[in-house]
Amino acid sequence: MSLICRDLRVEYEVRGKTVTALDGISFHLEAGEFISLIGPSGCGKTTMLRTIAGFLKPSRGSIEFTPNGGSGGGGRLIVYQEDSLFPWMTVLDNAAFGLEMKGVPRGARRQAAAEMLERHGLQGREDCYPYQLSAGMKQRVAVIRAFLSDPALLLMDEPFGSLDSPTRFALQEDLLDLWGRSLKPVVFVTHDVDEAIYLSDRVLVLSEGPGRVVDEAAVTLPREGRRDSILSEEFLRLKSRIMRVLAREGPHSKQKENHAA
Amino acid sequence: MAGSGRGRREWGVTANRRAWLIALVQTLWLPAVFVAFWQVASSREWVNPFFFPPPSKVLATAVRMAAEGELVSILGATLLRWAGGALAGIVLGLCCGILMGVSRAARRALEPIVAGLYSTPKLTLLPLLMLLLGLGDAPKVILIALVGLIFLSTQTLDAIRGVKQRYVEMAVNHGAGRLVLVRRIYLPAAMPQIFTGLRIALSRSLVVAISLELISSTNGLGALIWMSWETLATERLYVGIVLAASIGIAMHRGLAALESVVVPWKGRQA
Repeated sequence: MSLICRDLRVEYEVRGKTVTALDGISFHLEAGEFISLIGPSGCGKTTMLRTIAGFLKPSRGSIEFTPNGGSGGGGRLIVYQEDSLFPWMTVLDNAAFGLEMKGVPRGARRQAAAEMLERHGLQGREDCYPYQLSAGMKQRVAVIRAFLSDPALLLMDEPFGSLDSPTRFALQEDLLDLWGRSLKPVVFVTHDVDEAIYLSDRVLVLSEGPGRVVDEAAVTLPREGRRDSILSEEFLRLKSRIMRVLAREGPHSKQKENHAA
Repeated sequence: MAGSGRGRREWGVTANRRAWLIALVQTLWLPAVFVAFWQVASSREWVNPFFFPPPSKVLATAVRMAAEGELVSILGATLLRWAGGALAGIVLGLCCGILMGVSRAARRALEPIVAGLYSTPKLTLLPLLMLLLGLGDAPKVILIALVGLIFLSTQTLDAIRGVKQRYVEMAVNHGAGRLVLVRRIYLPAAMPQIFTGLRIALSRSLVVAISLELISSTNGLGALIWMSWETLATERLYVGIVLAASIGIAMHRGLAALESVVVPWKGRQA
């Protein structure tokens, strides 16, 4: 699936006041592409994902899905940062939930989930409840569930945002492994520049709210061995470019604007 | 002790038994001290033994009543009415609470009725029910059921409205329809609080079951207590009170055990 987002504006009501979360957002996502959205907190990244998923309606502009198969649940799946698993289901049932919703028979879905859990180092944890897992394991199960559900498009809302670095690195590998096998298009929201560059084909930088796309950086580093190239010239060039844009578009810029006015 | 591994396990069992014994002592010492003091106070006539007969005599009375089969028929009458009414009330209350929780239309229709009945003393409805249904068990069982229904549906509604929106959104995102949401999300997520509701519904309906027997019945614990008062048979009076309290304790214990099976993840939301 690919998507084109044209001149999107999303507003919502807070205590009777209309807040514009996103304004003039345009971008596209190719089939099988991995893009990251990065921006200051409050720039509407989460709103963006919820709009793509269909939970919010844009008040202007459009999102076009090609082929038009993105309708209905399960088509555009969100992976959340926390509370990403159902506390009352075991790891196995959580992982198999997407398949359950698709009507896959119990035996088949449990087997598929068990195999996937085993491949990602979670064998022996199938009957645990989420409270018995570490934060990293929980997110690993959430990512596994998302790929098992075989969605048309994956929307990831800072899924590794609350993890320590070693765990985060490990999960990034898991994610790239799963993505590489399925080549699902991914929209990955993060506030970590290294993570965005490491994972993505392209990085979109959003401005402070109401968010719009202020920069778009293609990551041309080969995926093979990308982890080792984080000190390469290309990586650093990209990183400093993104950080410059973020600094310019961050909260500080707004203050200056207000001051001038 | 043979191998060290086996020795360890035996030590583990001993430790468990020790912990269990400690828990038992911690639970029982207070009532034990109370009963012992009562026994001494009554037999030495520090208190009037007519109003406060010694526990040993109460126990003897209870044993005699049990041997004569009287106790079984008394307990049976109360438990049967309570169980029948409460079971019906719980099933209906659960359905009613879920319905109100997931459907705005149902909530608008039912919530005022439930709220109105919530704080009405349910016993005030007895005369009306007896007028309609006669003097038999029917009005009593219906009243007991009504109490269970009101308290459980209120708690269930509250529980379902308190379910984290995140989980609902997550399930909808995976393609869950309304029925699936109820079965896989709302009900299990609400289950801990539904158990609180069960505890309230069951104890309130027990209160009403016994109160009804005080007012108008010839059998059951309430009737035993009332007739003992009328005939000044204080030992039988205490047997009735202790039995009523015991039913409550057993119910709480039973629910706690059931809860640990049904809600193994309770209190650990993460």
